[in-house]
Amino acid sequence: MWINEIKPLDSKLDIFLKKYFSQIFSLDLRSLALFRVALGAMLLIDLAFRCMDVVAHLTDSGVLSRGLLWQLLETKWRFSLYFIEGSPAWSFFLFGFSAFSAACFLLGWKTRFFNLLSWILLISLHVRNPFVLDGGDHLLRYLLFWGLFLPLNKCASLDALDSKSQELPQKVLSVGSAGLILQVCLAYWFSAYLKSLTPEWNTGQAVEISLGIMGFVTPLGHLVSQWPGAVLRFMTEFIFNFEKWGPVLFLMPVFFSFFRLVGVIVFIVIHLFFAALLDLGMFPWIDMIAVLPFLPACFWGRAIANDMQDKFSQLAALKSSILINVIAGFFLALIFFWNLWSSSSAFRMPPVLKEIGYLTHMDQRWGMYAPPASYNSWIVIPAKLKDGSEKDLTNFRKPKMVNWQEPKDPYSLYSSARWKNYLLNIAGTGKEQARIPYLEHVARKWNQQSSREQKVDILGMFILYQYFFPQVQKTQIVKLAQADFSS
Amino acid sequence: MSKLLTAIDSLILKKSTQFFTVDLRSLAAFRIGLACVILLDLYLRSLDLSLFYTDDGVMPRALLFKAFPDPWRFSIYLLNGTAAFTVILFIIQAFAASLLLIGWRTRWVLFISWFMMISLHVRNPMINDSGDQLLRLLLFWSLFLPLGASFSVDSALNTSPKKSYSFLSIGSAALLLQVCLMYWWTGYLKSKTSEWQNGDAIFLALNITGYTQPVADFLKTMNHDILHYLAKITLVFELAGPLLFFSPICFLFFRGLGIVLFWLMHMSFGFILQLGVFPFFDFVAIIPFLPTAFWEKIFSRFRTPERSGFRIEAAGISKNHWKALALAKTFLLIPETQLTRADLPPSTVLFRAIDADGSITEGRNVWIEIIKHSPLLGWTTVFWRGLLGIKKLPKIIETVFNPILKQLHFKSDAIRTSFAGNVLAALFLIYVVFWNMWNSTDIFKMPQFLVPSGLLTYVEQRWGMYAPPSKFHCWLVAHAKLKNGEEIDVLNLNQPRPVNYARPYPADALYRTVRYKLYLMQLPEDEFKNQSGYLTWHLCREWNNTHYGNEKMKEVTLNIVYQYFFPEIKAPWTVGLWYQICG
Repeated sequence: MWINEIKPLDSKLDIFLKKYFSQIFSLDLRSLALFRVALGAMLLIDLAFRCMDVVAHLTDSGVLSRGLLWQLLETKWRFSLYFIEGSPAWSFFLFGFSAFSAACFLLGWKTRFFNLLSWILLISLHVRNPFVLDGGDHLLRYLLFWGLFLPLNKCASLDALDSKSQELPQKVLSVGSAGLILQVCLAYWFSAYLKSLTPEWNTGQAVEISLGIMGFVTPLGHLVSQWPGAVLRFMTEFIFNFEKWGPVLFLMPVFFSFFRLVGVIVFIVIHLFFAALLDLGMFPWIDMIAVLPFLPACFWGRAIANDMQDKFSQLAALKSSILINVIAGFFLALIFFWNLWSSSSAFRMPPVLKEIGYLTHMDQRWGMYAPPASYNSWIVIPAKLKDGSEKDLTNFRKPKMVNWQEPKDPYSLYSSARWKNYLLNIAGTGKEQARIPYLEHVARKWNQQSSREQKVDILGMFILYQYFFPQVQKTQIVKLAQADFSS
Repeated sequence: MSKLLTAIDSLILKKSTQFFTVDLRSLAAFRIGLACVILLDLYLRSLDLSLFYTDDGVMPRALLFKAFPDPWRFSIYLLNGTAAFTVILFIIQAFAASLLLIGWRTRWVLFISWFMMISLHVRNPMINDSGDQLLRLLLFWSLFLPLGASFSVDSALNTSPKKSYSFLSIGSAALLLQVCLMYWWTGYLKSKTSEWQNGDAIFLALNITGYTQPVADFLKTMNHDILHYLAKITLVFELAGPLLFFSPICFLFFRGLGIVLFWLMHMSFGFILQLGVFPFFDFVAIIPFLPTAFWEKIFSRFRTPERSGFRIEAAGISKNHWKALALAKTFLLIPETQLTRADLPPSTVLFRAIDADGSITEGRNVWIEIIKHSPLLGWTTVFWRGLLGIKKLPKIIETVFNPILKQLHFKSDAIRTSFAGNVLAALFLIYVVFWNMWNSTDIFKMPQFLVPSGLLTYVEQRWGMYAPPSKFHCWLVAHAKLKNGEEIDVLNLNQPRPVNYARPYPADALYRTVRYKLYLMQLPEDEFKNQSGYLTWHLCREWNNTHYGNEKMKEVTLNIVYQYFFPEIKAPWTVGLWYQICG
């Protein structure tokens, strides 16, 4: 890395553009450190939530054996370290290693190496069981990827302790920093673009519909959905425009620092609202982490005492090596074209680029709630027990009575958010093979903890649909699978 | 009485020390042999890379999982199903084998080689034979031995004083005994079959299409008494031959005799039968038996007055120069040359060579002198002297070698055994003895909880080669119909031939590569039959990728022809395996 001097340029426009781009695409080193700590913490939190389900989700003795997954993988270009062996021992080893790696990354020890390792382990984790993922997981992976190109360890890290206390510039300017900024912007812009194609968002009913989808709404969200239509329509308009224009706050040519600070605060507040209204797991929180690197220097100037500031000066931005810039530039172009391709049919990707995208798992499509489903769907897994009684084992940690009507308590339908994703995924077409293994898993789990008469005889798997928009219709029941365990 | 017992005790101790000691130079030769056969094996396997190791071939990962549902198996080749990934892993494996060849960080590289080799074998079990079983076991036992203690980068840069070339540990005993176990158990399993008891076995083995060299056809016509006799000799030799390695009297003579006889046996197997790379693996497996006396003999021949008197003096040369000199000393086999830090005249001279007759060489010519005194490369001196004429040579050599030398470091690493290593080797040695008993006899049953460690390390074994040899042979015909009505056999896509159900002779053209043959011979087995669709689909796709218009393949039928040739030759019969319409 070296310090760049701005060369004199001829025209005023050139100078303006140069200054403009170097300003909007640079990131503060302290913000990047905060970003690193938040990413590492999020990785650890994710692992903590997953650790109860390692055997069930990630081993051959769980619901999705490697052989089954290899039949269902959408592309052969995926790789996963979890494919090497299928036993719980190996999965636990990799899982524990992920936690170790994330902790080192958080502390900023050999940051780049552990960033790479965490990223590879995260890809491996995601590829091993794609059916439990949601949008937040993908965003987390992209953020970790862009971190590879950035100096995340320049402060508040163990690496920074080692280095001599030389004067550091405040910020970094490289293709990598532009990549991270544009990745976040692209996510909102393409999300807005895809939303603009749907009538629900144009007529302003999208929020009302979204807040009606059972299983993805918090109790508070349910309450809000009862609000007057005009308010909800306003909220639709607001979110739609926020996604379109919100990222522009980060790219302002005037009052740069002010708008950035405002932008970060606005994004965090809006995502806090999302988290309060919608049950989207980690997604809103990861969205908040994604804007942390945008915190401008003035934020730190106020937040941190003066003696810390000595280390940072008004030197020009830190830059990174040519090779890293070229690679970052390549991937920046890749994600741009990938978004074009996945969002519109007009554009085609060359196969080589597709392969690289699948391999690095940078393939992306930001189609959340575009359009929002205008029906509720939920899974029912009725079990006929040896003593003749029936139970609904959909949430096998908390079995209920079988109920073919709309569930009374929609917040504990499934054992966890990951199990919800998994069940709704394998209910989809093309995943028929995964259903029986799931039922076998449920039967095994249930039989382990129940007495002889309570053992499972027959397990069924049903999906129930109910259209609630424009008006509520009758519930439809579709049988997905059935397994007999009586022998 | 007690005196006698102590005497016997000490005798046993002395003898077993003698029996199971290996020479570090034998281990070095063994290491080089291993590296060479791994590279050869990888090259041969790479010919069918996408066919056997990717999801596009005949063994996609999902099928592997279904057809060989062994838990406890691991394979890094399962990471991804594309050819690109597999190529990268092959390159890594070949690179590790090359490092093994020169002995750089030998222990680590050995571990990687072993890990990658097991992974490769697990990725496609259809194309492995007993030779591969032997190779992975040799690699496994090598993990317990100092293969890099001689003739290696490690040893060249090892600053700890060399004590002796002998090495004794449970690991060394295990490596030698593993090879013996192979012969004993194959001998035992053969002796159980009537074909080997009554001596027909050799005749049978000479008949099996696809597994014989042209010489076999000549041998087949020999008097049957001779063949019976050969069968008995082979059987007895496999059972009793390994005892030659452990003779309490005239140890060296019998050890040498054993080595020569086993090498001869494997060479003749290699010339008569088509066993792929197996004979090479066998050849390497015998190398560790070479006793110290063998190397002493060779090195004493190298010890001429000119070489003993030759010495190099150096002062103030860079670390890289010292490393280069140390490497040259080791790899050019001139270890007795003195390399001294001397007070040289305060001139520009940094190092010089002094001949036995006192003549001094300086500058670049020192390297020529070093090569001249090497028993290994001495004959190439003229060539190097000629090269010196190139002006830029030193610059080129420096730019190439300096970065490499910089990565190497002098280290003190005493060659010794570790307690944990010995215990582990002992446990595994006992384990494989019992595994053989379990796998080849009924007298012992392996407790269930002990099975996983055998599967995980892949030390499980069974040595049932030609026990018994089959009385029939079979060959495959991939009967393809093209759009223009032409009918051809496309089993070997590189050399399609007219459809002919008669016995192919010679069969080499039928089976493109060694691994393809192994695959085709396994495929008709009952448990694998239903995989034939993957092969026919592969044939369709590959053919239609390179042929156009009327030449496109319409359909292909995979047929197998069986023929009994013993006790008398019977008419062949054809069985259809798979019918495929090319999409």
